[in-house]
Amino acid sequence: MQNSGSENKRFGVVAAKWRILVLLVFAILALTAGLGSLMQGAVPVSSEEIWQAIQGIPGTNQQIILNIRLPRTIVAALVGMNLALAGAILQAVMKNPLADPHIIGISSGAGLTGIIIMILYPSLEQLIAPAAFLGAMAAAIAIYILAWKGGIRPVRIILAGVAVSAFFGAGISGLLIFYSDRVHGALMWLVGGLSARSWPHVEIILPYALAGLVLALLGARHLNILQLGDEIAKGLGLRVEATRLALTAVAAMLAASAVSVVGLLGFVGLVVPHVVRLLLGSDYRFLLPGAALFGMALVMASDTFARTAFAPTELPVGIIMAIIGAPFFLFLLRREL
Amino acid sequence: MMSILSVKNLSVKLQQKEILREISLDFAKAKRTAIIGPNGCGKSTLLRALSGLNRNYQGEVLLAGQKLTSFSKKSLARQLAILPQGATAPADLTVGELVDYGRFPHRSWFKTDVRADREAVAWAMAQTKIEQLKDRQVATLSGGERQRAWIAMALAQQPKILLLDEPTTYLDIAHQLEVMQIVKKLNSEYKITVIMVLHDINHARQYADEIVVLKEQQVFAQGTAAAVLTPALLATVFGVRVERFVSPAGAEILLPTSLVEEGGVR
Repeated sequence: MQNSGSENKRFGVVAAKWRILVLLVFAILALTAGLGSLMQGAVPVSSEEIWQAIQGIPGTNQQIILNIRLPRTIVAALVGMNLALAGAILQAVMKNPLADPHIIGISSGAGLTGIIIMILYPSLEQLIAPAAFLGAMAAAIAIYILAWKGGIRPVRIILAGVAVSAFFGAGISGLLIFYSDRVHGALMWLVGGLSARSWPHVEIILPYALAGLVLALLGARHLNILQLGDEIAKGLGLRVEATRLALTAVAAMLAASAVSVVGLLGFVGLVVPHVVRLLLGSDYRFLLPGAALFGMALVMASDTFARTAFAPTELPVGIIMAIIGAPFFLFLLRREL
Repeated sequence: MMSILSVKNLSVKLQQKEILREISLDFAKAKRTAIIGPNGCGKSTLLRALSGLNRNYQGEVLLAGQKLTSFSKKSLARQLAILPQGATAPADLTVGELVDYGRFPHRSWFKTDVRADREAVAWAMAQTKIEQLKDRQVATLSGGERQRAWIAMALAQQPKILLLDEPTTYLDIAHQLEVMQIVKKLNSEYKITVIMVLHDINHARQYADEIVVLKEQQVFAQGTAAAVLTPALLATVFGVRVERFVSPAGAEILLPTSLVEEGGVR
């Protein structure tokens, strides 16, 4: 008993070191997945060729690397990061372990408004992301209001999300049927795919990804306090409703920008934060960077697998994510509710 | 005697139902006050209004003479801490992290004082004797340990006023005593004003300087424990007959023996 004080102290230091180590491992995973994504494909390329291509030294595969693989890999990384961060934020804001932009219908909201622009006003392509944001925000607020009844309960949020998701989903399906001639690869978009994503898509998502990352990290302490429940959070001087609205907006922005480039990619925001939580705990100052890195790694690796495993057929990455994510969702459902 | 917290003509309605009706009270600075009363008399409601958790009321709540609502939420949280009932933490949160979250009102994006934070957290954990539990997960603690961890979080706010809502509920007698003694020490050594909702009249008798008795939406009595906690008052307010014993050591024990049948048990 006597030296347990110093043991505790040592344990605290070990915990801090462990977290930094885990973050490093996630960073290495992300880099490895990125490199793998650049190397694997119809034409395998070596890491030397990639290095030369990036330096601008002409080579036989330079075009493939710079104009096909690199932008697609970057889009995969940013989409993974955005969806993982959005899921992590929503889980604290909605006090719900099962919150994920896809499951609770925020992605469908983004999808509907995004696809309206895509189909009806194709010349306004740069408005897809802002429109998707408005749709995501509308869906988030609708879910919140529908689930509110003297407080929010996890089950009500999921059920409200199912309803909202079905509602927006019907709109999306309707549009796709009416204008089936106008949407290329609509099917790919509905399950979420990275096929033919290139530099224009990087340009769409990058500003939102950077802004979202910074805002999410700035909100880390607030997310920690929100996890303690509304009463405690208010007692600690947090402006609960305003904070919740602001962070929901950040999550909606992150999810919407991802949806505008890859479509309705599900489960990233569910699987990633939970895996990271298991390893790092629920301190958002560590959880958010961990989720960002692991989200990048997961989507890049899944996409590499999706386009190489059944070559020459390319699967949308959304199918891989659903195969991993749906059982994981059921596992969480049994454990948490 | 100076009052640090007071309410003037406070009326609170919850879902159209009147919970408190035009009550006025003064809470003495650096004293321990217990709020007692039968179930549903508005004890928790009063505490929530005093703490600013509920701002939807008529009348005024004054902190050191100023309207509670005139303080920013963070500045209020630096002066006043509240521990509501039934607080829950994420499963993997450690005691150290929880107590550290109590520093939230002292931090901002532009300014954090790491040393002051560390000192306040260490002080809060020492007062509640939970230093040994620093790296344990809150979810794995016993009821008494968990309650002390939450009190430590409130103390890390370095408040002048500590509001506690039934802090001993669900605790065994040893842990009840432990919590009450921590509260007593915080008040006597650090002059923290304590206002607590209690349901055990003997705790109120033993650990409170002042007692506020609520009954049917109003203040029924206020005064020192000895003056207020009489068998006659307890019969009227709670509808119980109480016998009074004095132990050889001089401690007074109030023992409820039977219900007062006539006049209704309300």
